[in-house]
Amino acid sequence: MINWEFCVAFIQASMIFLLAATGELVNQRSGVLNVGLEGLMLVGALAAFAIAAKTGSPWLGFAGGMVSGGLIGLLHGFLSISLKADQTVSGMGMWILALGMTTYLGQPLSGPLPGDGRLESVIAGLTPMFFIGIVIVICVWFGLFRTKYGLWVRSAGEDPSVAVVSGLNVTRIRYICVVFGGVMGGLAGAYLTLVYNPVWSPNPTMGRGWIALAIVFFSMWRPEIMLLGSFLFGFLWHLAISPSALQFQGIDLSYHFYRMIPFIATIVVLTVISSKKISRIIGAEKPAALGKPYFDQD
Amino acid sequence: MKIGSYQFGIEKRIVCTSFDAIKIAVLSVALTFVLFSFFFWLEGISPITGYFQMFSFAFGTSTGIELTIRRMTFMLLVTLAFIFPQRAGVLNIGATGQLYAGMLAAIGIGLWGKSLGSSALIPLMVAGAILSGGILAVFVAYLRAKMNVNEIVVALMLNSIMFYLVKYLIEGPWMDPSGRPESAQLVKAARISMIPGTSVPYSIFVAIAIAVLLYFVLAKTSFGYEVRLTGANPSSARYAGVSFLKIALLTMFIGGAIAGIAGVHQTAGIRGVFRIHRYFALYPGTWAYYGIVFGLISLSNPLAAIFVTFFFSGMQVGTQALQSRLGMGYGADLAFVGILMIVLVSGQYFYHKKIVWRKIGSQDRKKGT
Repeated sequence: MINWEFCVAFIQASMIFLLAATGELVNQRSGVLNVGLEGLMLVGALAAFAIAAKTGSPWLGFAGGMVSGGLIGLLHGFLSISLKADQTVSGMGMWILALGMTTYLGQPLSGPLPGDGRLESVIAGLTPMFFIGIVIVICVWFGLFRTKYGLWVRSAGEDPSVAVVSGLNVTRIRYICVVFGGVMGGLAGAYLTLVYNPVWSPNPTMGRGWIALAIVFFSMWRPEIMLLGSFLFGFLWHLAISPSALQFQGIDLSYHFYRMIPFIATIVVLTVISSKKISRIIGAEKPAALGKPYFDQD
Repeated sequence: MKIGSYQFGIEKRIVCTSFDAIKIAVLSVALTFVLFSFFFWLEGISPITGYFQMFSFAFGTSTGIELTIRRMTFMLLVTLAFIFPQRAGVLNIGATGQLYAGMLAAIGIGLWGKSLGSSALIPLMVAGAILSGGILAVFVAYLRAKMNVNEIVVALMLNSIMFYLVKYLIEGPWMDPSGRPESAQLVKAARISMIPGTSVPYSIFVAIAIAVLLYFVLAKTSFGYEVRLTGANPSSARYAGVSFLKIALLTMFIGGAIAGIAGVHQTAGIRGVFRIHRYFALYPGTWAYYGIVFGLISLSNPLAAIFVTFFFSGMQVGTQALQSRLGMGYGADLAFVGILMIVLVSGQYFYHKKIVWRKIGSQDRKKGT
């Protein structure tokens, strides 16, 4: 049955996607692709879980998750902005490192989070972090599309050489955006292990980072579609792990196929929107300089 | 920047010779070993003891060498699956999905054709794996070249889709009769036989033969020339009448096919069952990503890949031995590869830049990487 409990759980699942995708949106808008989003989430998830378990304070846990995510973001920024490395390979490296590190370091922590490290729900099963997350996301949208700072970010991602001519420091803008993307990735990971499913097991994200990355492409770099996408994927994801909700459908299909739906849907939607005709109708706003390092005249 | 009595600086590198590239790769690997010492420090083991234990097991004992060669077969194949499209400038990030496709084909055909003889069954399994791995790769390349769909996202999605398909099959239709979460055992006819007296399957020769073949295709044939031209300069390749679509589809098909063969090796050569490791939900899928790293170290040279994968497979086997010998935790080998990948990508900065230094007060110049 789909009841309120189910809805709360799926909204929480959607928040993970939304937070991670918001960070990725900002750094992609500034022209840096971070495919290591899954890794950022893993690191944030472990840091938050470990700190919350040790100190008993979920808020310190969230802070730890954000800081550690930001550090990985900074490392990716250093590679992709200062060293002008291949951003895809660098991002994959971040992910593999994070997967290995978190598996290795997280072993002694395996198991559920001690009770006092958990976040109490305030309204109808929703935790305060949900509302804080919503506020962050709204601020990011407002900042990105209604302020001059947002314009700076978008111009760094659209045409960095023009941005430089208009007096912007592209390197600094991109660094800030990549670190922000890392912080949000870490926050999403923290949300996963402190709110959605407070248990540590190796690889807790289970591909959520790839989905969040896909949501950004899927949304054609527009936040309003990203919001819809996050909730759609959150719903599908949670549906796949709630057998009772599945029985309600009356369809006897293995849960594995429900798990595949978000991934298949991404490919289909991406294929449809990537065709020139459709992307012009919908108005895809792909940053023109996405994934390309900016070379100063040296 | 001043250190001691030397003045350091960074200058532009005009030409990066292959010797420079090798030097950079070797230095990157050395730096990775230094950075990885952090894990020994965490465990309270001296890095020297740690590395000694690692390599003495992997290369100094007969069990270790056999394990290393078994692992190397897999690693060499996934590395070649990355290298070949890479030479045409196409990034094959989806080796994991192609590997799963190959494993599924091998297991599926192996379970279906129980009564066939080995001489019919093994070629059928290989053909099935080549087709399924290749088609999966071509699907990604086609969407990219024809429909302009981001190939990285599609490949990552396919990896996850294939993972759940595998999980469905081994927890459902193909499940082991005893109820363990793994596929049913392949019959003897469907297993690749071992080199007599060892536990190394013959597939190692196949892997090395493919590496040599790819080297000759790239160096001596007109197709290989077109591939290299496309990778070096896509626009001049287009002027020379080389179809990018054709090259992208063909190289990806070959890459995917090789990843599929790695799947045959892993199922029919090593285990005879298809299992998902309890610690790593993605194993051995995650190992397929190692191909990217080893491909970068080998500088996309198929012959170099043979030696690189031998060395690093030993390294990986050694790390796993440490897990049992010195009680080191799981995941350290994965972290090693992650560090290596990041250091290597950073090292590519020095393809265009070099560090120069000179003694303060003297005029003569020395150059380093």
